[in-house]
Amino acid sequence: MAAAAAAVAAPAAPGPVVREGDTVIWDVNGDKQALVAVDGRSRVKLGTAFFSAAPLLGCPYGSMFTLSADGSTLERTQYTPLPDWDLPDDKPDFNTRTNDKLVQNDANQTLSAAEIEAMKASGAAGADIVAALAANSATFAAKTEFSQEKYKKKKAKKYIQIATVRRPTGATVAEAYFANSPAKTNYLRADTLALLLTLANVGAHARVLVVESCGGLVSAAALERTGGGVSPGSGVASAWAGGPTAKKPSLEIWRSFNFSQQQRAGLRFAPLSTLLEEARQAQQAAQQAGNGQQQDGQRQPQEAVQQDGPAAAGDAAEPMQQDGQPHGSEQQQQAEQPPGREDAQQQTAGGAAAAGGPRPPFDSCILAAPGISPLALVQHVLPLLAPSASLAVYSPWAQPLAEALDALRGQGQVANLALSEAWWRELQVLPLRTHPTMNMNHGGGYILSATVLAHR
Amino acid sequence: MKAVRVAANSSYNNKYGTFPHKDWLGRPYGSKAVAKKGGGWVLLLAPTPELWTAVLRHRTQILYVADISMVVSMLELRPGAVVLESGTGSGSLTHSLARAVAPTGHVWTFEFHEQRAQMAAKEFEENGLGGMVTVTQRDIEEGGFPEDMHGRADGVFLDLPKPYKVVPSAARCIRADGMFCSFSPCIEQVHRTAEALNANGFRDIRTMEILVRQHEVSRQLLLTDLDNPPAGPTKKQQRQAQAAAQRAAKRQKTAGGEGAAVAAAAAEEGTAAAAVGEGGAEGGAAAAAAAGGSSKPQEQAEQQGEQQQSGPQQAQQAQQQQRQVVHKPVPFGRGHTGYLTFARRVAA
Repeated sequence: MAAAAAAVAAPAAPGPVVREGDTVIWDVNGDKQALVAVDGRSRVKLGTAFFSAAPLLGCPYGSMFTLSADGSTLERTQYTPLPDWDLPDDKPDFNTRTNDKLVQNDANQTLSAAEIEAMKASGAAGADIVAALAANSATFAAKTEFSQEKYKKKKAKKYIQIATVRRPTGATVAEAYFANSPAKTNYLRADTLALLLTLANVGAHARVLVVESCGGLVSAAALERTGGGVSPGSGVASAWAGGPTAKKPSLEIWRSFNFSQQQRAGLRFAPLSTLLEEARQAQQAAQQAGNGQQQDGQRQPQEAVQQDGPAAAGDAAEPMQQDGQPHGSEQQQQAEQPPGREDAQQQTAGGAAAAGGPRPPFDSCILAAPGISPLALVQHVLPLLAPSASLAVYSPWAQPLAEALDALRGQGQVANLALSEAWWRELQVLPLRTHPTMNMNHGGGYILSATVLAHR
Repeated sequence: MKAVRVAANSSYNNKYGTFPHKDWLGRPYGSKAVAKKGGGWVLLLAPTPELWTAVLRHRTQILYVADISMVVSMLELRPGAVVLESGTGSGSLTHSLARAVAPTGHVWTFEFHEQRAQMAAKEFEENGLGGMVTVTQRDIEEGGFPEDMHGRADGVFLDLPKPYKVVPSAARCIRADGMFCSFSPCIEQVHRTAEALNANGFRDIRTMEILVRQHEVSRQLLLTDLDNPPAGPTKKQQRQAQAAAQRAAKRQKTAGGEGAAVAAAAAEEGTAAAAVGEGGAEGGAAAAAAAGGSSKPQEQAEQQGEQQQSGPQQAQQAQQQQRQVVHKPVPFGRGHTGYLTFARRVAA
């Protein structure tokens, strides 16, 4: 196994790289994630200090960075396979020690805080400090091999700072928010988000209606799945309740997804009242067309207000810098045109691109605004939904969803009603120590799903 | 729930009656169609990958919605992506992969069982996914993925008895920062796979269990006036309640996945009140579906309603109003059949 780990795997075919203006997830030691828009001026935090993010530009996503020897700049470092799989299990005394003689005591560590600081000040590498800590621990030698590994890992996290540059996707952004500032996405867990997208049948041709209080995460993840207007009329309409004068809630997380302008054009923001008015007009037009008048039902009046406010301040994870318009960094197979980032007007307004986006009726609907009664919200949006549309409603509370299900059952408006609960457990898988991870999150919440029936 | 391919000269028959397809033509999806004779009805639903998963022919153990959602999300699939899958099995996951990468991406799926590969290919074609999904008969465990897949995949999904044998080949196929996923029922397979991943240029190796628990919703009358308990149910009511419970249990056994919870929930009402009003009609239904992901669904699906016993008495109806809505997980659920292991290809 040690030999296997040492064998250097052939390098992978090139993947996406960080371009100027991209937002990246700056993941430090897997413990702390920040969304950062990278340009020549932006700075990222490693340890206790901020450093220029310039070295990230042009690097492949997945690159790792640590401090240079003089501690002044970031430099790339290579990934090395985990040593966790190397077990000296051919040694006869392996894994025979026990912890019955170990006593918790502050005096076990003879290296003082001042001495550690002095080592750091003299430029000692993190690995050296970890080794010194182990050598000066009175109990280290008596620990089991696994315990020793855990001790070194814990200390390494403290003294060795390595950051990974991750590409923002629905999954990675959801996890970053959930781990660092879950209130901003209303505690929506990544697995629950994944379920919502599936149960609402979100795909390239979908016209998706989203009503959310998750900061825009649901709308952005849905837009990612639609590809952003890949087919005409598809995309995401992110809407809110409260009438035409209601203030637009903060829904700016899409800015972290590096959507191209073309993709961004598949996303529109509008109050529900506007969409309901559009649906009413479309119905009228259809009726007129049905009366024999040759009318193009597609050609709807364009006066409907498409609200697309500027980025709300303070809705971003620290130190998210939301000064940039998302830039195309799609690294899919089909070659994409270089993003037109020079268009400053579109950058600031973002409204020019918002002319696209789907109109009612929608064939996919995700409601993730637990502050609104699910029954009231479902009945409010039903006129916007096409027959056979897929509907998924999220709430951290089961009871309002159960009551909505009870009220909707047998009314002929929806079928396939189901109430489900998300459950997610991770495991550590390692030799002789495979077990569920210590902290399991219990807050996956509940989903009411249904299929909309034709209006009678 | 049944998948039905619509043909003008064809008709669908079940115990509720005969349904000529020509009556369905031109009607919007989500409509109710009534039988030629009698009051039987079916619901015509547009096919989605989820509905297809509920009705497809099982040739193998299949993945259900919880695992499917996580796989699609964590493989970071999106329109235009290229994904490799092995084995194809019954094609349950394949439909969802196709929906995620359509219209410009591609699913290359490999199945070592010749007949299964052929049947899957036929289904994908019929369901309108032919342009997005390519099925190839190949023993991936022995031969790895074809060389022309090297460096082309954004994601790889394995559902094989010995996934660890395929890890080196997967590493050659997945681009830098792309994702790997393996589904294994046994932790021993997971262990060997994780070790192989660590040795073959993968990082962020994570193993997880994911589950969707279905809840059944019912109305229950909980005793509040402890001094004046109401008279208990008559013998006849007790018999009816018992029969309803048995039907519910049977239906839950036969109905698949999501459908199960709904059916059980409706029947539960029957249990409590001995008879249900129109509230039960929805619950007894089961839906049917066909292909998703294609721009023009070519199939119609249907949902069949179940005749309800009629005539709840007024008094019971009034009592029903005071019952409170409650929910609890269904006693048995599908979908928790294995571990998902994800890993990310190390960037060069």
